[in-house]
Amino acid sequence: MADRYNHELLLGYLEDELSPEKRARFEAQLGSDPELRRLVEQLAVDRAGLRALPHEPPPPALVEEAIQQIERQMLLGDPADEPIPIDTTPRPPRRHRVLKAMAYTGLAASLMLSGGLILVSLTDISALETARQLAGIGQEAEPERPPVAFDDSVERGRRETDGVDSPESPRSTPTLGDAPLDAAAERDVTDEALRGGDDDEAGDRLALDAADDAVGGRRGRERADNEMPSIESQLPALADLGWDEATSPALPGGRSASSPWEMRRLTRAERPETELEEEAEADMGAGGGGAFGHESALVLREADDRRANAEAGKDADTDAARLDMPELTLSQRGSGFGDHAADMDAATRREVASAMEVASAMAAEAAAHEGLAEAGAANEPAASVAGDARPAARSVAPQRVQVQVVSTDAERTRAEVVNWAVSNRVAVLPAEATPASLREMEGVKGGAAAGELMARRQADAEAEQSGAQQAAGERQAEPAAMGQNVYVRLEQQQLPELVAYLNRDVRQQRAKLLPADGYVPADGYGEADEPVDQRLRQQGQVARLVEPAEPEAEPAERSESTPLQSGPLSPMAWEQLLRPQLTPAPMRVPMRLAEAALMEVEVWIVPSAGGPGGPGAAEEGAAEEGAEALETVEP
Amino acid sequence: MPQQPSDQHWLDRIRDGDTSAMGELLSAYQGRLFNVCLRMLSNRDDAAEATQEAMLKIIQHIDSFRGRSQLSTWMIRIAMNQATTRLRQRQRRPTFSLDGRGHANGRAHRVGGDDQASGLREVLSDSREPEPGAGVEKEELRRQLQTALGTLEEEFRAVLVLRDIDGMDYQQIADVLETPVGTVKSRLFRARLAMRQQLQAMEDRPRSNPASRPEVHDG
Repeated sequence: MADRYNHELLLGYLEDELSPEKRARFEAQLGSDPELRRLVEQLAVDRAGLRALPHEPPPPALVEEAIQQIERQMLLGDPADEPIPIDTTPRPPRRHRVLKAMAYTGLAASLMLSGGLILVSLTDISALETARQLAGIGQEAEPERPPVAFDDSVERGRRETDGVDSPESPRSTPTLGDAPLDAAAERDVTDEALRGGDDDEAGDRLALDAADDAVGGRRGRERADNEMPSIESQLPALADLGWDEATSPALPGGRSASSPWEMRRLTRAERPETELEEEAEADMGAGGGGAFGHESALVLREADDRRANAEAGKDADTDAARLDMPELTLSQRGSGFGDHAADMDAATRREVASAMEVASAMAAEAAAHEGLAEAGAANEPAASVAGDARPAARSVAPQRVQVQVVSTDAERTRAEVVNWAVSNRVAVLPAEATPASLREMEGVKGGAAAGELMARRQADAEAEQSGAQQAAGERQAEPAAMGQNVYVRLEQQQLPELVAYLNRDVRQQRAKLLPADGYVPADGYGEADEPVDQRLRQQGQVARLVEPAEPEAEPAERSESTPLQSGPLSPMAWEQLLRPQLTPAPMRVPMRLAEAALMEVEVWIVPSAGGPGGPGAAEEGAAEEGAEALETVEP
Repeated sequence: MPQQPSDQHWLDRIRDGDTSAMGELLSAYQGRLFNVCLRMLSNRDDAAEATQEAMLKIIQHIDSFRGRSQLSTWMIRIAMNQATTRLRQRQRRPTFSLDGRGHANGRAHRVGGDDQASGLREVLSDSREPEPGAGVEKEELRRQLQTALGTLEEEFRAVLVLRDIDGMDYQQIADVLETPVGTVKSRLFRARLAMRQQLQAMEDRPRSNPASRPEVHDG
């Protein structure tokens, strides 16, 4: 009802705030509208009634009580004496509420994140399984081809093969994800390509297929893996390739291969590694063909093209040592490293093979140190990662290396080795435990010959010791050579550092690395390319290396002033003498050393009779004055 | 009626450390504070507690008064806030009258009225001797007014109390309620209409059952 009237005017009239003109105008309106008049009268009565409500007197001593409460609160400071809490609900401080809210928010975010990750992983797994199922169904029902873009020449070749080239048939515009080939067309294309008619198109097509798989990720690779047998089964013209199952080479166990690639797969695991590598090189030289699996053969042609371009001087640097994506994909899903290697040039293949061998050796080393039961099991992952389908790499035990040190002060040398080990954080193996482990190691390596090896080594040491005693006359025997040995476990690259450390103050080598077999034959040894001084091999002449008394002194002309001391000489001393004395011989690390990351080194300290205060000191006056010495002693 | 000292007078005395100034100030304004709380809460005890709380806050925060409004306005605003707070607490905590005539508070109080007004009714009826004739009618009108006032919404009740009972002008009401003057006018007009509607409903209701009250439609 009141909505019909002007609120401000009506309220102003009630509150008596209107100007005389407005008031007169409103009263005129009231005269003409009895309903408005009655409303105004009721509102005025209500207003007057409210204004007439009496003022109630406050309770007595209201102010006094309030002031007393304030005084009590100020004196006691007890919040319990506060008069009346406004809000009785205890609320934590705002800072705590904010922290609590932040904590809840973080917890919720972490839960959502973890839930999302779980959901994504579950979805991914389910999608993978679904893809597998779909791939299986599709393979059974219809060999569906993934959408592949290929060159027009392929389509043209197919039409020419089928003899259909009608203008009514729409030419497909091939793009990725468009115009999938039917199974018959694919078979035609593949057959034609493998027969040699259209190799380029088929190779491009499979390469693009592989690229599509690489782009499509796991799902694409799965699809491609599922399709590989079907493509292989669609290669009927083995006779055209020159394959005859009846005349094919017999496999062990009386088996026969129905195809060259099956032959290759069956024989690969049973053939030695060197033969495989030679075959790979031969295949590369031959330019591929029937000896390879079809995918490798197809891609190999591209590698051949690149090789031809490289020979022609074109992009030799860019393509020679790299693998492009289609090749890598094909080789990874292919039958093995041999096929893979066919796509590379020889240098790249050797690099990859070397890297794979090192990786296998390192994995075996790690497995051995981790205490795994079989080191070969640890090789499997490394081989798989490297894409090698060969049998797992052989188990490589920690390398045992001997470093011979000819020293006049065995204790000091031993202390030097230990100090070097401590400063380089190299583990020094317990001396009392290492010979046993060494024997065990030798037993593993050499079988029954281990005992003989140890016996011969001990005999050599004793012979050297007895020779020294004989040369010195009535002197006391040196401590046993084996007793002065130090066993350290170090990394491969630390071995040269150790040898260099032991030779730091000596012009000629007093420390050297012994061959990998760890045994020096009694009749002397030397590597094939080392010069052999036949004079020193004559009967009755022995030479012995004597550590210089003052290593810092400048040596004299060695070839003229260095005397040779005759006497019985150990094979190690022979080896030492046979090396060129003025020029440090390069240390040759055995081949197997390069394969191991860790090795145990036996520092074999061979005592020398010319040490200070030791045997032969009286005869070695010149040697003591000189910097270094090779003394000739009459037997 | 003696002239009340100015706000600055009170403030100067309090800030000069006059310990009796605060007592005198509160004594001078306790009637207004108590009546505002009483009309808002319709209960003497609640009004007394709310008034005491308002006095404590005035004492505690008198130093923070910056003079942007009148001292009386500032004090009434504190009392109004305390009354509003207590009113909301009471609405969340239903109470029942021991004489059996009451109704649950809370939202039902909008429909059935504020039963706390019964205390005021008793006070009014007991403290004043009904005059014959017009006195009875006037007393009945007061009771109805208080009852109707207790049924109004909080904002309507506040603006009617400040305007008609405390006698503030629009600007002072705007300062107390912290709303624009135009809003105060509009709210005041709607409050009067709502009051009229409540009284009309009470008149139409049988007088034999004064406890039952009609619904109030806002706006």
